[in-house]
Order: sequence, then C-alpha cells, then structure tokens
Amino acid sequence: MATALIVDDAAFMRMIIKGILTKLGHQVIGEAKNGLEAVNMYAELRPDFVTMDITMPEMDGIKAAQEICSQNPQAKVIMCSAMGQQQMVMDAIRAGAKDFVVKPFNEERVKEALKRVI
Amino acid sequence: MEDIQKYLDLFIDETKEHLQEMNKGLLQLEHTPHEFKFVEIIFRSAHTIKGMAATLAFEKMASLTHEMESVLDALRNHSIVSTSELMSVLFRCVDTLERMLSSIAQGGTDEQPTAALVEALHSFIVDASSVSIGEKEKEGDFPFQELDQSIVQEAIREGRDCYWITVFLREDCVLRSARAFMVFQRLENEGEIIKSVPDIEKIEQEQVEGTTLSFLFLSTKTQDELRQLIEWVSEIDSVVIKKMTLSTHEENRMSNNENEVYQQKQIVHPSLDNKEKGKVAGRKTIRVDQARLDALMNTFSELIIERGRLEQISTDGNYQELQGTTERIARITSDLQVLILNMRMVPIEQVFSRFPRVVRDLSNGLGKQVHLQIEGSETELDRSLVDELGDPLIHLIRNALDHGIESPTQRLNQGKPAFGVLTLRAFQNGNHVFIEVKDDGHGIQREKIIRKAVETGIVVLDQAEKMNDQQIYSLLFHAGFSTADTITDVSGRGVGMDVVKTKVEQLGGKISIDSSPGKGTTFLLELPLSLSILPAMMVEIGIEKYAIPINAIVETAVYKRVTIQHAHQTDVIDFRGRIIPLIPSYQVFNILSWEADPEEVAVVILRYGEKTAGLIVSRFTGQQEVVLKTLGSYLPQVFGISGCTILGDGNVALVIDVATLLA
Amino acid sequence: MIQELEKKKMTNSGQIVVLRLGQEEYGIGIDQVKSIERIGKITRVPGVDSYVKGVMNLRGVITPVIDLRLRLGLTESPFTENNRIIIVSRDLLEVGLIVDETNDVLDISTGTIEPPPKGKEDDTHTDYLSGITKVESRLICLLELEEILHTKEVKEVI
Repeated sequence: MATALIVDDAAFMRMIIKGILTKLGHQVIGEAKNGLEAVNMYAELRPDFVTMDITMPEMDGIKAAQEICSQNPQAKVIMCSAMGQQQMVMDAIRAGAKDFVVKPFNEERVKEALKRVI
Repeated sequence: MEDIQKYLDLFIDETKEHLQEMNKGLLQLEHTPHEFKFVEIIFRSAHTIKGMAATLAFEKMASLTHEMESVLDALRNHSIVSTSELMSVLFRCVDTLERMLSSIAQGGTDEQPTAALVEALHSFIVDASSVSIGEKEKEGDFPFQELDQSIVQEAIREGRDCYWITVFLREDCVLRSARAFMVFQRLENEGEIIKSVPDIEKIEQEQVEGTTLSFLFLSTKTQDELRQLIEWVSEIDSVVIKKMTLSTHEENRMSNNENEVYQQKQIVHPSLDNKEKGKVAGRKTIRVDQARLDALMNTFSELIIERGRLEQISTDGNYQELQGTTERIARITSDLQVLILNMRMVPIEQVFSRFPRVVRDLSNGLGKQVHLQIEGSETELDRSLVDELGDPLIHLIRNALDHGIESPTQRLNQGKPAFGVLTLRAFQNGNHVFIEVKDDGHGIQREKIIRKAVETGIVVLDQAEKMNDQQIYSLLFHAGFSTADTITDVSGRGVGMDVVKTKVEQLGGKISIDSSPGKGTTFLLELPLSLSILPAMMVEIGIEKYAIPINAIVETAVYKRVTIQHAHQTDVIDFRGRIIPLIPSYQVFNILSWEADPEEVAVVILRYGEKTAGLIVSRFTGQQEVVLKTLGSYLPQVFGISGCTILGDGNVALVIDVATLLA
Repeated sequence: MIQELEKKKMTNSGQIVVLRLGQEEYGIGIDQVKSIERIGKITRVPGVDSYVKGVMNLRGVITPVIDLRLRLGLTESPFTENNRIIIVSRDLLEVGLIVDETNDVLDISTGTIEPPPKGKEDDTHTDYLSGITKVESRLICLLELEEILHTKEVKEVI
C-alpha cells in the first residue's frame, strides 16, 4: 500500500495505469501530464513512487526523472517506455530512475517492478 | 473454417522452420557442446512451437516440447551436462515432432508415441544433482581468455574473490540491453568487472541480442549478496554464480576423438555461418502468399510486353514527348523487374539446410563415415524450384551414401581416407542454376550396370557392349532399373533414379551423370532460373524472327563469303585469331525461307562455357528485353530452342538456347 | 463409350460444336471447347510433327496450334476467310485446332450415337473418332480429343 504519482501526457494511459495501481492496492494521489507538472507535483505531494512516461511536451520523462532524483535522492521513479526507447531508458537509469516497465502494461510486470522499489 | 485453415497453414510453415532451426542447433551443439548459444536457439524454437501447438490444441506436441524445454533449460542453467545420449534423445524428439507435423499437414492429428521419449527426458533431469555452484566444473564453457585468467589469479592472490557470473534474462524481456545495463551498473557499484560478455559498448549500443550475460567479477561481497543484488533487477530469469579458484580455469581439454569430429565442423557448416550472419544483420522478412507473387509476376510480364509495344509506337510515330516518357517508363520497369525477380528468389540454402542432418543419420545407419561439403548455398533460385528440389536431391544423397561411398574399411583398403566426402555444390551460370552432387566413392561399375540392365530387359547384351560410358550411365535413369539387391534404404523406400530424372525434367531441367571407377560419381542438375526476363538480340533468319540472349553473345559481325573456310565437314571462320565453327541455323531450324546472300554472311558470335561458335543469320534487327515463356507441355523439347517470347507486335518469336546449340 | 457420352451428357447436356473439314462435319463436346478464334500469326516451331503448325499468342498465352486436317490424315488445304481455330482444353493443356469452318452448336441425344466406322486395317485415323451421330440429315463424326491431343513420347535413343 503506497502512494503514487502518475505521469503521462495521454489521459487514456493515465487511466490504465491508475487502474492497475489501484488493483494492486496502491493509492494514486496525483496525475501529471508533462515533466514540468511532474516535478512540481512531486515536491508538493511527496508520493512513495512515480510512474513516468518518456515522451511528453514541456519537459520529457528523462529530464523530469533527473530533476526529481537529483532533488530527492530517495525518490523512486519507474519509467514507462515503449519498445523503441531503449537508449532513453538507459539514460533515465543513469539519471537515477530505479526501474522500467515496457508498454503495453501488464499487471505482473508492474507488480514485479513495484516489489523492487517499494 | 477458412480461418482455421489459414492459421493451420501458418502454424505448419512456422513450425517447419523452427524444427529446422532445432535440427541445426542440435547439430551445432553436438559439435561444440560448450557453446551455450545453441542451447538458447533450440530452447527458443521449442518454446515457440509449444506455444503455437498449445493454441491449436495439439496437446501431444505441446507437451513433448514442454518436456524438451525442461531439459534444455537445465542444460543452459548448467545443472545438467550434455551427453551423446542426451543429444540422441533430443534428436529423436525432433524427429517425432516432424512426424507429428507431417501428419497434421495431411489433415491428421499429432498422435505419435512419445512415452518412451518423455521418460528418457525425465531421466536426464532427475539424474542431475542440484546445482552446487563452484563444485561442478564445466570444461570448456568458460568464455574468457588466457589474459583474464592471469588477472583472476592475481586478484585471488590479493585476497579478493573472483566470480564468474552468468545472468539469464527472461525470454520475453524486450529491452534486453537496458536490463543488461542495469545489471552491469549494479555490479559495477559493488566491485570490479574484469570482463563482460557482451561488453559494455555492445550494451550501450543496444546490441544485446541473447538472454545470457556473463561477467568476470572481482568483489569482496559474498555470493549471496551478489545474487540478491542482481536478482533485484526485474525480468531476470536466473543467476548462476561460480566462485573461481586457482584450479578451476584449466585449458580446454579435448580428446583426440573429439578433435576429429570437430574437424567436420569446418566443412559442414559454412552455409550455416552465413545464416547466422544474416540473423545478426537483422533481416526483417514478411510472409507473402506464393500465389500473390505469381499473380504479380504475370501482371508484370504483361507490362513488359506493353512497354515493348509502347516503345515501338514511340519510335515509329516519332512522337518526341512520348519518347521521353517511354524512356522513363523503361527505366522504371527495369527497376521493378529486378525487384520482382528478386522477391521470388531464395537462397538454395533453404534446401541444403536439412541435408547435414540427413547425411548424419544415414551415414550412421549405414555404418559409413561421411563428410558433407556444401558450397554455394547462397546461390539463389526461384521459390517454386526450392520446394521441389528437396526430394530429388535427397534421393541422390541417399544413393551416394548407399551405393557410392564405401565402408571405412573398404576405403582404407583402397588407400582412401576412412571418411568419404560428399560435395553439394550450387552455382549459377547464364540462365541456369547448376547443382552438383559429388561423391568420392567407388564410382559406377560399368559391368554391373550392363548386367542389371540386361537382366531387367532394358537392353540386349550386344547393344550394351557397344555403348559408351555415358550411355551406360544413362541407363541408371531408366524406369525399371533398380539396384534392389543392394538397397539398404534406411527409410525403406525405393530409390529410383528414374523418379529423380522425371522430377528434374518436370522442373524444366536436365540431369547428367559422370563417373570415374574407383574415384567417384558426380550428378549434375541443370535448372532454369524459372522467371526470365532476358536482354536479347533480335535477329531474322529468312523471314522468321528469333531472339538470342545477350549474355551468350560475344559479338556480331558480317563475314565475306570468301573468308569462310572448310574444316572437318563444317564451315568455319576466323574470329579474332581463333577458328570457330559456323552453325547453319537455316538447317538446324529447317527454315525454308532462307536465302543465302552471295557475297556476305551475317554472323552472331556465341559463347557458352568454353565453346564459341558463329550462328548464321539473315539480319540483326535490334535489341530488346524479352519475357521468356515456355512453349508449353504439348510440344516436345525442341533442339536449340529454349522457349519463346511475345514481341511488341503481338507475334511470337522463338528464343534460342545457346547451350544446346553449342554443345 | 456410350457410358462416356452419358457422362458427358450429364455435365453439358450433350452439346457439341460442329466444324467442317472438307465435305464432312465433325463435332467436339462443348465442355472441351474453350474458345473459337480467327487465324492469326502462327510462329513455326522447328522439329515438330508436320501437323503442328506452330504456336500463337492468344491474349498473352502461348498456345500450340495444329492443323486438324493433317492430324486426321486429310490433305492440307490453303487457308481462307472461313478457317477458324478451335481452342480446346484438356487437363490444363490448351491446344488450337485449325478447321475449315465452324458451323453451329448442336444438341445431341445419346440415343443416336453409333460407334465410328471401321476404316481399313492400317488406318489408325478412326481412333480419333469416338462415334457418329445423325442430326436431321447431317452426319456428324464425334472427335475423341484424348487421341487427337495424344503426343507421341520422344523415344530415348540409347
């Protein structure tokens, strides 16, 4: 049972992730639609973990992850990537993200990633 | 109902491919048991087949592959060792799967006896004691070099622990490089990575392909701590950690026996290496219904014909604007032509790939020792031929192994090496693909053939005695000629040479034999590149139009009649210092409208292989691309004619077959 | 043979295409006739039997053409406006038959089919007939396509 911040520019995706997280017994306390919002909301809400999409307007997921992790070394950011974004995932890990899950989401995978992280 | 058939077709196709992969992988594994990448390949194929079979409710197939998976998994986890017994069982499993598939393809079920195999598979896993890492020494599968070994020795002397860590990612892990990166990162934080396979550059450049990562790692952490560290990363299937001691890294020891077997590796798999490279290059493919390709080709042929007509109209009518467009259309269709022709061409490797297995099984069954040499497997030929060539070639291979190559003892007695050599060579020449099946066995015994032929009533004795060697060899192709008394056919089927010949001719090809008693026999198949759009030179002989493939033409020339000499009952001319024969085309083709010019004679200098000759024509009428069409099965083979083509004006012109003309 | 014709009757209700060679009329089952064409350019092919005139381009398909008169042992006759080529089809094989004229399509009932007349002993040309039928006052010889299209196998010279 942990609190989560969901970051994705597509409302549909946010809905899907929210559904999965809720099913796994976690509480979604905030939804951001770009990296900038994510950084601000993280500071405000201090969630236990963050799910971060990569391609977003204003500020992309890697930048946001970097921001959040450098300001909060204990932050637990999980990247949500698509198949062709391997390099970006590696960049995000370097920047401090803890793990990644590949879309399309699968409850099992998300569960596994969260197990490590929380 | 239709849908299921489509799925079934795809299932059959894909499973066939995977079974081939498995065979290939098993063969490779057999030769190099320490190369675990082959286990990966076999595992993946078994896994895929299992999934497909389960989806279509082929329970027996699914469960057999499942059992295989368990054993393969244990192999790659190093919890069991590969033995020749294990390999045998795995081979038999693949055979059973092939039989199941064959039955399914014919509308049947996947019912095949599997109990014994499953039991055997189980026994391998039960036997193996649980992994005691560090105690079970794996000879030869240590992927690290001498240099690393000395670093390891140094570190150990300094009191650091050296580990050899193998991480297996989950099969379905998609971003493997990213996971590898995470593992690498975590390890780096806790010690020193001396070597990693794949190395960090490959990881960072997203070139991780397999699911196995290996690290030679120095650290003060304990094995358990390291395990926890690594297993923290998601999508990891298993981790094997071995602590290195000074005695564990010895050189690969190979007994002499193994060396001999491994020698075979060099010769057997050059083609397989190419395919591996192809895989690395990541060639993407898409399945296309063959009927669609046929339709595409037919439509394209019509386009070529119309293009020819367009060009004619354009020149005749002298429409300038049209000429520009016509030229461009010509260029575009040429490009299209190359593309389409290539689409149907596949490397003959597809046919050859199952042969190593066939040779292995057959030679084992017959107690013979045979090296299979494959050359030119990248030679391409039309898809339709590929499907049909498998059987005739296997017949020829069986024949070579059964009757050609002698037993090791017999060979040694003759001063030959115990291992016989069977060579399969494919190459392209002009408009044909040639496939040679050659053995270094005892050749064709003339007397034996004559005896058999007389016995079965194909010839009479004095007829036979008058025949030359070539004619005797051709008797082998006669229906009714069967060397039944010497057949030890492993599969129990009759090996009829007449069947082979019929098949080859059906494909529009020819087959010939040559032999040298005591030295060996060579079968040569000549097949057409079935789709042919040829650049050709058009000529007229009399009033008849003929097309000559440009690649057989050296030059065209006009000779003064007085320069024609006579030698050996043939007219000859001097061509660049060489005396070459003149072919009286009007005689060869019975052209009644031929009128000889008193002063001059127009000649097309042709070349095929080593032979050069001049073909007499009336006039040269230009060059164009022609679509080679067959004359059809109603007409017999016409000497000197390979087919015909439809000209721009809608009329038909015959296409000259230079090969037979010059032979 | 009667059974064969019965079978044909079931599939095509016994219709035949009637053609003329010289003074006589012949018939081919309509199910075996693909089309009827005018004579176009025929390209001679060397080294074939004399009754094979060559090949022609029929809408992109290379079709062999034979002179039916020669095939049946009649004398050759120069072509006129009336000649036609009947494209027959048998087991995926398509061949064109040059005839003097094509007349009509007739319905024949099995009842009036008689076995073909026996010619002289060495005359094999009656093999090409499958029967004779009479329609009103016309006598029509029914052609046995199988025999007509039967190609002699080239004997292998050993």
